Amino acid sequence: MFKQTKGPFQRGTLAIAVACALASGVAAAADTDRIQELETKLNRSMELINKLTARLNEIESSKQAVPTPAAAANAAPSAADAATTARIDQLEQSLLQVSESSAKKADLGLPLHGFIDVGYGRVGTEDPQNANKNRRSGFGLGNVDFYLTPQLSDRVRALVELNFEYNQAGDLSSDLERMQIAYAFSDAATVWAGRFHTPYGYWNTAFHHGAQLQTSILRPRMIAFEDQGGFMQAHTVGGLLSGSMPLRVGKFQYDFWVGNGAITTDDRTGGNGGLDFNRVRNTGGNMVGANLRYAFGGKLSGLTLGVHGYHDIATNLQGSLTGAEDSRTEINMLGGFGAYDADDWEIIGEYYHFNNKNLWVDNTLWAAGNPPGTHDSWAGFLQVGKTLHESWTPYVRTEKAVLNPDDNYFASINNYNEVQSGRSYQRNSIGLRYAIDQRSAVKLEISSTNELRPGVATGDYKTTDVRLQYAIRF
Amino acid sequence: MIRALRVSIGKAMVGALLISVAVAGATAQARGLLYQLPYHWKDDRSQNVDLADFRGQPVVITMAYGACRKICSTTLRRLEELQALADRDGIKVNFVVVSLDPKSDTPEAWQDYRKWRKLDRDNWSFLSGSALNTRGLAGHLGISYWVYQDHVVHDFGITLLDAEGNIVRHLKWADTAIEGFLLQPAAGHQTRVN
Repeated sequence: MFKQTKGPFQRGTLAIAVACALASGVAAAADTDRIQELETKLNRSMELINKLTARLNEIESSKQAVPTPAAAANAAPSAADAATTARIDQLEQSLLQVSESSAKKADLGLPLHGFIDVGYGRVGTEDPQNANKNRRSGFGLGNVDFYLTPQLSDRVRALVELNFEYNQAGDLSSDLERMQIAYAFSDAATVWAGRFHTPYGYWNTAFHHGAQLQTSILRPRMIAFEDQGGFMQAHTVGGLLSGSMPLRVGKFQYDFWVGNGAITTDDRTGGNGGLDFNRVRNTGGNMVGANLRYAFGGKLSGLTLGVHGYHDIATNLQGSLTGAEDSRTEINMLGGFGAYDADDWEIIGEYYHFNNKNLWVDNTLWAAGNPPGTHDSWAGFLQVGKTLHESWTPYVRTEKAVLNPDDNYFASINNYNEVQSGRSYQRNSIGLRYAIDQRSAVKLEISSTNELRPGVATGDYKTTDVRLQYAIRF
Repeated sequence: MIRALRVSIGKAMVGALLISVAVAGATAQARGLLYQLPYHWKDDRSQNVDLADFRGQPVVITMAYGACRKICSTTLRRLEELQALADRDGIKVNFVVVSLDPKSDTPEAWQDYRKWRKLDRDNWSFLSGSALNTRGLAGHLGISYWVYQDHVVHDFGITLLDAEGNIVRHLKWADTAIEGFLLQPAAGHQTRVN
């Protein structure tokens, strides 16, 4: 376009204007001197226009008395007018594009967003088995979560979420929480591959790692991340097919996934009770699952109801991830969930029912009382929050898990990071979230947990937590 | 001679136009720039709309999306309060809500949203446009947003435009006193975009 510009005046004007427009986009704070200079130039231009118009009128009126060769004289101005008009339109369009580019400047490069949270915690434990009471408190760094979404094209998508956190022992760990690439055939069908959040329930794909987004400080324990006490794979390495189909009122959404099944490093045989899913296995099977839900519209807008389920063959290893296999468990989970996200109310409930089967155990576990067989377990939670005066959100949550101790899968993940993931428990929490502004929140949460120890008659293991969190997004 | 003069006038007008836009841009308050931007929208009646179509009356404009129950709820509440103020003071003003999630906020979805919210007054419009136009307008209104997988994480922002599309002032999250928000400033005075 610039090559088409013929005169130096046009080039000069365009250069000044474009430079000014670019400068305007970059500097939101106006430079008074520059504005005055530009206004002076504008006034000069207007004066020039007025003079030239007056001169043109003068010449045209004198020409009316002197006939000119009609065809040539009329054709030329007409063509010039058209060209000038086209030129003005073109330049105007260019300027608007420059302005638009300026407005989009935040999109240049790879935008970096994410979440940060810090906090204070006071944890009291009561262990009747050992007649022991313990209390710990201190400040803690939560997560620094970086979220990257490279804009590749309308159809090719990518998502990376990198998380840094200190655990209670003070060790810094980094996790590539999510790394997924997609091809979108349409809104109704997008295929993702990589490491993604396992799409069970509502919570795990609604809040991800965004502490500032979720109302409470802690996730419900049953859906906590694998290194924080969760007994289900919060992440999956594999493939995911997702889609959303609008209906007359509301929309139907689905997820189907397949990925690496769970590997546990058996707590009973010297392992840390951890849950791993990143490795490619040569035993067991893949995890397959589905989540079908309906997001209501109209008067029920904000309500989502769904069903979810997955099947997996979990492999329990002795001691470490390189240890020998000591058992294999078929996991069958089926459940339902609902969420009501209204202006002032937030209600989330999820239910998980397990019908797991000990497929195979070695002689040691057999002797220890975990023979093959089928066992039922369940877990669920309900959280209710109400926002008052737009900033204050008191909330309560109750959660319960009744996990069969003869189930080899739950029995094998008993003691990871001091959290007895695979044990039955009941937890009640109450909290208050205050939105300082749209990007930050302070939360206070008190929770009481009773944990059942199989075969221990002295009573439940009890924990009382008081937590304070300051969470932001950027 | 005449041709040369017309060309000169054209050049001068081009210069004037560009400089005026540059002045508007330099003050970052865009004297009517919002109404000059080549953005096109579709409203909840499936009609094609440009922002310039609202010329002639002040406009309260914001960006939101139908599925949002956090910041957008506050935004809608503020807009309703502003409407009540306008009714009380006899101020004629248009309310324009532009979608941050145009894929989901189809005209039909906006229609349902209006019915559900009982926002059926004629001076309210709910618009959706292309992703490019949405980003562009958000940039001009100073509303930062990003997509967190299925969610749009975004800022709160309500902007008052005068009858020519000039930005008069912004309403921010912490601004709970909205009493004077709809008042038009004295001629020549404008507020800077943040």
